[in-house]
Amino acid sequence: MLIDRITKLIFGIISYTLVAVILAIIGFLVVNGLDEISLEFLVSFPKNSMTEGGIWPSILGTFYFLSIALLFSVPVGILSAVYLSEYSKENRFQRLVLTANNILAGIPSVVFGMFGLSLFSITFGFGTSIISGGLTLGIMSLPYIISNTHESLDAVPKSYREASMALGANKAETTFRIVVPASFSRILTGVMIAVGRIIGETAPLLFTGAAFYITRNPSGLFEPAMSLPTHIFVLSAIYPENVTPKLEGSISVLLIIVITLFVSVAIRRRIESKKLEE
Amino acid sequence: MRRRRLDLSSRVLVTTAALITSAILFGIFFFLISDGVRVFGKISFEEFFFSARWYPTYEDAEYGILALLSGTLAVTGLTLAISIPLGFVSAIFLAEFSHRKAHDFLKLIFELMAGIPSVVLGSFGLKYVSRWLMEFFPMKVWTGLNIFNASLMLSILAMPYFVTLIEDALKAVPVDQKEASLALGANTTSTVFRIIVPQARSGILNAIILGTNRIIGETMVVLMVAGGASMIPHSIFDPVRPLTAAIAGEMGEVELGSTHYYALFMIGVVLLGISLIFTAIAMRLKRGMRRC
Repeated sequence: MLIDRITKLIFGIISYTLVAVILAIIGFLVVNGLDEISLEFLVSFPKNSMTEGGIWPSILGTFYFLSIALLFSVPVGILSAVYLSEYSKENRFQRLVLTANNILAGIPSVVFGMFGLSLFSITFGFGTSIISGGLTLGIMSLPYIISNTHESLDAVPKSYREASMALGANKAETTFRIVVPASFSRILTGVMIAVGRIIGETAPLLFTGAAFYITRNPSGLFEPAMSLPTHIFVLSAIYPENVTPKLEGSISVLLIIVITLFVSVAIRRRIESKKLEE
Repeated sequence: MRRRRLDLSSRVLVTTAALITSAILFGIFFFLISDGVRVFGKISFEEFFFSARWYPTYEDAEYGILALLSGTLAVTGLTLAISIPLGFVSAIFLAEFSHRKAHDFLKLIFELMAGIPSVVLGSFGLKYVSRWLMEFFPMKVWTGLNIFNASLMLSILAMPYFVTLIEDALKAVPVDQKEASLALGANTTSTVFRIIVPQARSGILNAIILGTNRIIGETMVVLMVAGGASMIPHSIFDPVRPLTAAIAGEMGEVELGSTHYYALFMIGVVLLGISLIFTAIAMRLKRGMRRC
C-alpha cells in the first residue's frame, strides 16, 4: 500500500541518516588520529608538558585498573548470578538481591566514584591509587555482569539440570560442571561488555585513582596511574591547544580498542542467536 | 563426604557473593548520606535546595544547588526532545519496516554507538562541535559550550539505548494482534500506530524512564561541553553546570571535611535519590508488563 511505502521511506531515511552521522563521527575521530599513532607513540612516556612522547603509561594504567576491577566483579558478579538463578528460592533475600542489582545498575558512575573515594581512599586509607580506582570500577561494573550472567544461566534448558541430578550429581556439581559451562560463552560476552564499559569510564577515576601526568610507572597498587580516558579528558579540557595531535592520537587508540571489543561482542551475539534458532 | 562438603561450601560461597552485592548498595547509601547530611550543620536546608547561588570557592562561599539542578533539567529535557523522537522512529523502522540484512546492519551500528566512551564525545563536543556552533549561529551563540552542544552529544549516547529498548518493547507485542489487524484489512502503518505502539506503551515508557535516568547521571559530556556556568539558563545556547559536572569538576580539589566536600556529597545523595525513584518506577512498570 502507498501509505506503507511512504512510512517506510521516511522512517528509513531518518534511520539511515542517523546511522550515517554516527559512522561519520566515529570514522572522523578514528582517522583523524591515525597519523599520530606509531610504535613510539604507543610505548613512550609523555614529554614536554604532553606536547611530545606517547601514551604508554595510560595504556598500562588502563590495564591495571581493568585487572583490579575484573578481579573483583567477575567472581562476585558470576557467583551472585548463580545464587539468583540456581540457589535462591522465592524469598525476601532473593528479592533484596534482585532489587539491589536493579538499583545499582541505575546509579550514575560519578556516584560510584564518590562511594569509592569515601570507602577505599579515605576509610580504608588507600588514597588515590590503582586499587581504589580499580575496585570502584569493579563495583560499578558488577550489575552488568550479574544481569547478563543471570540471563545466560536462565537460558540453559531445565532438562540439563534434571539429567544431571538424575545421574546422582548434587547441586554444586550440577551448577558448576553442567549449567555454568553450558552458558560459558554467553557469560563471557557479558564480561566483554563490562570490559568495554570499564575501559571507557572516566568520571569515577578522576578522584579515586587517576594521575594526570606521571613520568615513571607506578611501583605498586597503592599509587595513582594514568588511564586512556582520563588522559583524553586532561588533554582536551586542561592542557592548551598545542597538545591536540596527542589528543587525536589518544582518542583514535581508545576508539579502536573499544570498537574492536564491541564488534566482537556483536559477532558473538549473532552466532549465539543463530545457535538458539537451530 | 568430600562431595557433600563441596556442595555445602559452594552454597555458602554463592550466598556470600549475593550478600556482598546487597551490602554494596547499603554501603553506597550509608557513605553518601552520612557525609552528605553534615552539610546541613553548616547551611540551612532551604538555602541548599532553593538558592541558585553556587559559589563554593568564594570568600563568603554559597552552596545553593537550584542553578545546578536547573542545568541538569535543561540538558536532560533537550536531550530527550532530540533523542526520543529519533529513537522511536528508528525503533519502529527496525522492528516493522526493515528487511533482515538492513536490520542487522543498523543494529550493529547502534550497538557500536552504545560503546563510544562518553569522554570521547565530550572531547568531540569541546574541540569541534563548539567551533561549528559558533560559525553556524554567530548571532545567537556567545559560547560554543552550552546546553545545545551538550544535548547533541548526550543524544548520541542515549539514542542506542532508546532504539534497543523501544524495539524490544515493540517486538514483545504478541504477533497475533498484528496479524488480526492486517487480516481485517488495515495497512502496516495504521497497525503499527493503532495496535502495536499502544500495546507496547508500558515497555516504551520503561525505555524512556531508564534512558532518562542514564542521561541525568551522565557526567563527562556535561563536564566538558555544558559550559560550567552555575546560572539558571534562559536559552538553549546558555552555558550551565549540571549536578554531575559540579561533582566531577570540584571533587578533585576540595578539602576533605570542608562544607564544600559535604555539599558535593549531598549532591551525590540527590542524584542517588533521583536514580532510585526512576528505578522504582521502571521496576513497577516491568512487573505490570509481566502480569498482562
